Amino acid sequence: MDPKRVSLLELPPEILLHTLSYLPISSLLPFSTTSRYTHSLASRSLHTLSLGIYTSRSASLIGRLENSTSRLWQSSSTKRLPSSIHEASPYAISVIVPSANEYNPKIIDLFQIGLATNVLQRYAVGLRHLEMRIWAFDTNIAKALAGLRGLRSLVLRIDFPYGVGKRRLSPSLRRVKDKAWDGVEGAWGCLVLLELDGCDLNAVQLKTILEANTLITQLAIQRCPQIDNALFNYLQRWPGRRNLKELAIEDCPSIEGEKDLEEAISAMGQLEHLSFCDCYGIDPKVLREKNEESWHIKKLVLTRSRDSIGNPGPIEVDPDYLSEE
Amino acid sequence: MATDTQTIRLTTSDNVEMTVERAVAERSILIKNLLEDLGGEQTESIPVPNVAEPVMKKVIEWCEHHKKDPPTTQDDDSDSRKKSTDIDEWDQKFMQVDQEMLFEIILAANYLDIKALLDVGCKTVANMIKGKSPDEIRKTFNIQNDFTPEEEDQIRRENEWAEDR
Repeated sequence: MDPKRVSLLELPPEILLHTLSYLPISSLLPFSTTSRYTHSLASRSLHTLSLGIYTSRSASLIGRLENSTSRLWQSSSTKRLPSSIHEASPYAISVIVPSANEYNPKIIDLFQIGLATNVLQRYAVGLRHLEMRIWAFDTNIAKALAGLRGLRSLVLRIDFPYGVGKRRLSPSLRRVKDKAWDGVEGAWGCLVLLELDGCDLNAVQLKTILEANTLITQLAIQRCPQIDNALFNYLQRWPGRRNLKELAIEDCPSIEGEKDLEEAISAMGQLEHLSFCDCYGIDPKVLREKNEESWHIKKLVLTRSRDSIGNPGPIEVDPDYLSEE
Repeated sequence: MATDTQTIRLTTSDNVEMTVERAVAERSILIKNLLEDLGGEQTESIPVPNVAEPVMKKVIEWCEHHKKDPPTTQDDDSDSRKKSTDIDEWDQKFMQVDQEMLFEIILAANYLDIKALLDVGCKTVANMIKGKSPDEIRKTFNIQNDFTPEEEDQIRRENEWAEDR
């Protein structure tokens, strides 16, 4: 008997892609460098990526710690508490720009934009779940993001590049370029998780994203000072409002008063988790009463008083992790 | 021991007839659907033209062991991010076969539509790739390096961003 010999790359591509989907990025990349065919397969099969670009090691440590507890991992892993960085690590990459302090901030910004855009373009076909922590955002990145056709989860954090202590940004260089967000108009369509932190988009830009993505179940907008009550006016009519299970509008100082918000929340109906943490334009008492009376949302997070600013509770650090570094 | 266990017959690609307990064979969605379509008592042998006897034996062995497993739920796409390559001990032992057999099992599982077996097979291959250098991977799977030196250099540079720092 002479069974015909099969070798790995003769397996049908769908089986190969399925196989590669089990690989952490650290193994996917070496595989991709073995031949032309494996390279094309591997660039298609990176489905989850948590990319952080930092200017220093300490910034990367803090960033990774925060990323490891983000919604992206929480929503999927019920049995594992993502309390340590290792949990998220198969798909996490931190890039630290070498000796960033020695360069002109403008060049560092361009470097970061180029790198992020490049990585997104390269893995555009396969990416389903993306978490990205960067500091500079422009139309190029926005367009690269819009090119991720199959994206289901997007967590984007735009932070200060040099740590809170050293805000060396020149005033002319805004982190988020004007109109950059217009680059994602009409993008995606199957998004279920959207978290934008520090992303500096306005209510109209957010509206165009929501318009194209009515399947979102988790929506979190944090530290976006341009987001105002217009968002709630839109949410009242947003076709996806009944799919929404979690809504978190946090640290958005332009949100004021309760009326628009109440009407939007009342129109939702499926909400299980609602947070207005650090939104000081809202009276928590009014919302709490409303919840007891008619919403009955299981988890309601409101800011009690201004005293709670910057006190999110203790951060747990795995000592093994720190000693390793 | 139940004596009235229903059996069916399968004819493999190399013309070997095998008698298999129906419940075991029905781990294959292909065979299950086929039997349902045919209805009633199946007396004819079912041809399995894509799978040879040695492979079929292995597949049946796996199905026997996993006879009582709950039916697999359709793998939700949103779950892909929690994929792990953990394989239970019995399956690990089961998959200790040469590469050709492993790939044949994967192909058979794919053809016969036995999702759980396909997953175990693919995970086994993924574990063989994990932690290896490009050269080791080429050697393990007999992959020809068809890059020009320039291309290889470029690919290497492309991936530099992700290297451990």
